[in-house]
Amino acid sequence: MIILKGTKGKKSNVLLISFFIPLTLILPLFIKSSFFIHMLIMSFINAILAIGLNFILGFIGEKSLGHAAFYGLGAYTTAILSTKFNLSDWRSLLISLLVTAIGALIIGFPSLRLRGPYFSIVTLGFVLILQLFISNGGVLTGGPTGLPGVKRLEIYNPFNNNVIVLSTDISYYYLITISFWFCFLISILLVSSKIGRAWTAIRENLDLAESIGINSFKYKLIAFLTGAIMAGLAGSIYAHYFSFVSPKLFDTFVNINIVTMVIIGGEGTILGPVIGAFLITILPEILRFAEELRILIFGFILLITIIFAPKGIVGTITNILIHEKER
Amino acid sequence: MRKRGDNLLEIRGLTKRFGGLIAVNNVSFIVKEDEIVGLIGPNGAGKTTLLNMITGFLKPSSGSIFFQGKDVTGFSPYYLAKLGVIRTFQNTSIFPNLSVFQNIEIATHLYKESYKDITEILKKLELEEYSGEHAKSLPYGIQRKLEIAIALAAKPKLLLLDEPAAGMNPEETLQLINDLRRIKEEKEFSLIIVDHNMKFITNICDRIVVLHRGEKIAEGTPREILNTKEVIEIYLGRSVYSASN
Repeated sequence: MIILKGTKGKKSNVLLISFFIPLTLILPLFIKSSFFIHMLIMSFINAILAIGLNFILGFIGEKSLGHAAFYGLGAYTTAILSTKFNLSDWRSLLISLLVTAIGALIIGFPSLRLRGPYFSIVTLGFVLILQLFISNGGVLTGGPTGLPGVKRLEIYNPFNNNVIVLSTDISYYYLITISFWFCFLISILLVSSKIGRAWTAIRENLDLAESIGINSFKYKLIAFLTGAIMAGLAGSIYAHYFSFVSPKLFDTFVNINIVTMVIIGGEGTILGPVIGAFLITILPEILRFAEELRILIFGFILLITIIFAPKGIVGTITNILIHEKER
Repeated sequence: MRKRGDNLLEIRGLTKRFGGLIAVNNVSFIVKEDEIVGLIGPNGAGKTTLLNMITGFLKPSSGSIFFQGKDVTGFSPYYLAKLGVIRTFQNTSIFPNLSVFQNIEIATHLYKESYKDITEILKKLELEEYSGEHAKSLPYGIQRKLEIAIALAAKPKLLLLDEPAAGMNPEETLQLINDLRRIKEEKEFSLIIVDHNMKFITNICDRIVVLHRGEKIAEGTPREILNTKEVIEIYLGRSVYSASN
């Protein structure tokens, strides 16, 4: 019932969060396998990407096909700042988010005003242009082979007045978990605010929304910017965590993957993208035995979801619950 | 303070061309505060195009629109809504997947409306019993009512209704007239009603503007309009007698 607004939805949100936040924070105490920690880190990175895309795909109903571009933009800005300018603390993180935001503004400003498929085409074009640009960026971007040697994130510790370098996987687990919860809470706050209501109106009936005073362009831009900045954050953390970025990080496959996460989980729901992200991240590891068949199985799952449960896992379950209640 | 009799909306020489077609040609008229103006004309007369221009959904090719003395030609729909120009649409336009209550709640976007205010609007249009139901599952007549409720929740100074009685039987139309009268008694705003239905328009409007092939051919009180030769010709055709004259 997470996606339902109103008092009941809020109560279950609070319950869910107060259970899962502590759970994710104590989880590393029980998991000793570094592989598992790595899987969780990747799941949370993908969850942030999916939450970000959900603002655009789910809440305002615009079909973005280039969400990974902002992931790449965040990762590359961080990598370049770290390797070329020796900057890898909160300042480089902030600059990375700023660069993604500017990128989103350049893309969103002309295309979100138009109706029809223009937005999809522009976002797709953006990711392809960025791919080309980075693959041919020479020394600055490392070209198609990528940029190694990204330094670890430095965090200032105000208690001891020293700088801590995040070097262990566990430290990145905490960084990404906290970032994830931050994004998740922002998503809840926005959806239950006036902004979220305006998004619903725009998705449901654009003309009617405009006619009752909703500036659809403004609210679409808010959704697009928020989503892009979240992707930039995920990219920046990824770059520090892996110490290596390459154009493969945000290629077409990754783009489709993020869309798949949102659709399978349930677009327009709060929890859906998170569930989708964990499934799509962990499933390939379970299907490792199938090797090349994996992609086929993926496509099949996506197909089945779109035909039989177009509202995704969370959307479908919510529908069933509502029907049970009405009976 | 603005009072009854002041000009709320003034349209000067409004023209809209779609390529070679002139949909609206040099139309001018005035809507006063607290007045109900009917906009009639046969199909393709340019009524909806005119309404789309007044509400900002279409930009005029030439001419200007003044609202409360301010030039608002070419303003965006949402901005005009902020000024108080609210419309409904020809094809029933609601938020289909939301409940009736949520429909009204969203429509109060521009204001900080309380639970009580929303239920008041629902009560006024006799929609309380449907409050929790999905808008798309409602019968047609109720959906049209909801449409008007949404527009009212946005606090109009000028409300433009695009064929509100379309698809309604005489009984429902009468109910609509009563609803509109009742609402107007409580709240002061002006109305522009676009419709084909002569009976409906003449029953409720203070003044009527007649459009034909994009041009204004007559304007006056319902009684005057019903006695205008051109209007009768458009609606009933030219009589053999007058044609031979």
